[in-house]
Amino acid sequence: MISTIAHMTSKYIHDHGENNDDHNNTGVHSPPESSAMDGPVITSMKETSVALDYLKLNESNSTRIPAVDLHKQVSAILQGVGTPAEHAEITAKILVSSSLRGVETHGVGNAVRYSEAIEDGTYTVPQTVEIISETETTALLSCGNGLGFVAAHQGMEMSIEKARKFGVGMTTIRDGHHIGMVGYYPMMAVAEDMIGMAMTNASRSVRPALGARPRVGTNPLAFGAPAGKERDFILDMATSTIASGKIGLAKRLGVQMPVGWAVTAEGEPLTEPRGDRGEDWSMNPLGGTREQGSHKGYGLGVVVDILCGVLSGGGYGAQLSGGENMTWTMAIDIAKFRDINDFKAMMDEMIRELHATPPMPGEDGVLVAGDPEADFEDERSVNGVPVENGQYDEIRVRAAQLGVEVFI
Amino acid sequence: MANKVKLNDSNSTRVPAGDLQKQLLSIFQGVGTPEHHAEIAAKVLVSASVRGVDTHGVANVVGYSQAIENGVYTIPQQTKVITESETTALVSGGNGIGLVSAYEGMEIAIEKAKNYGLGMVSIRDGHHVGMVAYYAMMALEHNMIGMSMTTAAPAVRPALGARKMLGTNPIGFAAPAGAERDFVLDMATSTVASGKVGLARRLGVPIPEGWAVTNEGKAITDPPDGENDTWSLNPLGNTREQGSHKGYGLAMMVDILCGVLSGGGFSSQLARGENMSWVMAIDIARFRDVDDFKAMMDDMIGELHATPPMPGEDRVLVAGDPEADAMDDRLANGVPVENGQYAAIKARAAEVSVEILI
Repeated sequence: MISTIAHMTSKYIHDHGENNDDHNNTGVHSPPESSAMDGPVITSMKETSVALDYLKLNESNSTRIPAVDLHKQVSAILQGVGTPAEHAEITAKILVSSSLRGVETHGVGNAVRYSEAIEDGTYTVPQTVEIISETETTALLSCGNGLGFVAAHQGMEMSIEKARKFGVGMTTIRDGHHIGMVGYYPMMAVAEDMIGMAMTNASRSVRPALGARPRVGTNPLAFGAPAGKERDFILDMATSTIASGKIGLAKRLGVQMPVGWAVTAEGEPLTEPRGDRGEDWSMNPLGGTREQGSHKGYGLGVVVDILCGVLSGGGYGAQLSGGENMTWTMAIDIAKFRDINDFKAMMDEMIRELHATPPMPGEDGVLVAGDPEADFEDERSVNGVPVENGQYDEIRVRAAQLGVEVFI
Repeated sequence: MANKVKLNDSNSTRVPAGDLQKQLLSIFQGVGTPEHHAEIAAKVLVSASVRGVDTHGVANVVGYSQAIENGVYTIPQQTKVITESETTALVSGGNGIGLVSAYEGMEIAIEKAKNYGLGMVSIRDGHHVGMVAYYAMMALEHNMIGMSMTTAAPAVRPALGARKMLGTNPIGFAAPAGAERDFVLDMATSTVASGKVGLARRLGVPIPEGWAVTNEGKAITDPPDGENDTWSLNPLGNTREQGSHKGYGLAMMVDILCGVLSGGGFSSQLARGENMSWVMAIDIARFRDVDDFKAMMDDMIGELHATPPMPGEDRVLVAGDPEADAMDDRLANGVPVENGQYAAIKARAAEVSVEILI
């Protein structure tokens, strides 16, 4: 067995704002990727490497399902526990988008635990997304403790609508839950020729710079801007060194973490991946150490807490329990600044120049945020979405349990 | 250590902030800057020195005033609105003093936020804006959240890349607290600001591994010359396994908001000394009661301060703490100006035939 993940990270280096680091505290079942990783057959360092960032799904460990069937199935399951059709459709759309884009940790497998959270009353369904205060350009929303996706989606729709009229739109959302892949919401703006931003906070798992206890969430932020011929720029990143899902993966694979991802409360590097949350260890903020800029990742984590938690009044990381997530969205209408085609042409130039950067020895090429996900989406839209066999069974079992039609 | 210039009584001279303001004002005016723009430029530079950000402080008046004299900066400048909506403006800095265009850009953003809740300004044809958080902080007295960003010519490599392609592209963010001190983040999206490498070079001390690499990917510890193309700063995160794609992604975000949204150009299109900027103001009261907001800020800051520190550390800080400490000391006791810089400012004043006030 390879000794650390250090050598294994694939060229697909994105991580996807894991704000689902709360599962162990919620009473909601573990995220489905836990079973997913039992399957992959690791034949080489390269295979392992890919597995860590994106599950390396293949014909033997997964089943290809057309995206449209997955959508129907997820929607049916959510409706089976009482979610109104409209809200189930929104949630299904976002979960399927994550799976299409290769972000399995935030993908369709999560339908099972969300439906359980609805059933056990952790999520309030049917939910009302209430507008608490609103102006031409801003809105404060309550998610009504329902599905986080529904409020975040509505929040971004409102931001886009406000931006269309007045240039910029911004919403902040309290009383919320997990919103999945945070990069989804900026993409909604990009589809309208706008720049989009979204952030979401989470309960404590990351230490402040110089601090020895977890006080900030992994607090991911996402930013999207449309390109022309090139693929859109979509950044989706946790403000910690690593998304918490990667630590879970390392644990399930039985490999060590590299120094820099996590530390004990005594400041010793933690290389044995932990499956629990506690005061005795923390993830590091982006930057890792004082000398390498840990105050920057920490500062960005607090920015996310301010925009999502303090501006909404829903609460900052240290006030949240596991499973609570406050969210912020913004849309910027590019045409209010300059001609959209000129903007996109300059985006294309910038992206091409970056792609043309000579790579470091040993690297294939320089990527731009959103590249790996767009590759997955191209391939999976044509050939179907591979669903890991364990998850595939879970989803079907859950559908049967709820007495809804099995579509996959 | 190279992290901060340690100024003391033997290597610096304490000067009252008010005198520095007058001296800088007179030098800027001495090279033809209109008074109200000279006031702004002096104010931003003195603020950086007062807050302990000496790399962006008063000594820069020498370089800026030379850039004015030799025509690199256009004076008198006009901050010209090219396009505008209720909440947005695209502004040309008219190739003048960057400090002035960013300041006036933020004034526009604040005005729009007063009227419509949000204000956002992207600024092209600009130059160096100094301490980027200054502009975000302008929002605080209006009970607003402020944001500011600026680009620069290439110094930083993209993740996986072996050539400098991006500026250090810093981000400023400010939010008002109540009883606690305001949250003020000011960070380059590279591991370290380029000024730190230059400082280490001047002091003749090595830099830690992780700040910079050669084009062959070797770690650099002997601080290199900023002008040559054989090395790059690392993006925040440094390595693939520690998240270099995140610092790189943030730098691109800054390029998009400052350079592409304005049309002024992204990092690798910029000549040295060209900087595009972006500022934003958010009126908190449009969302919730400002006092409630500030009370929650206080709670959060209090909790973060109360975090048990790592062994060997004194305490946990919040962004803006070190600068607020420096400001408390320097407003009371004067601003220490490094002796070489002190002499350079006085020499420059004499050169442009204005009274020496420090």
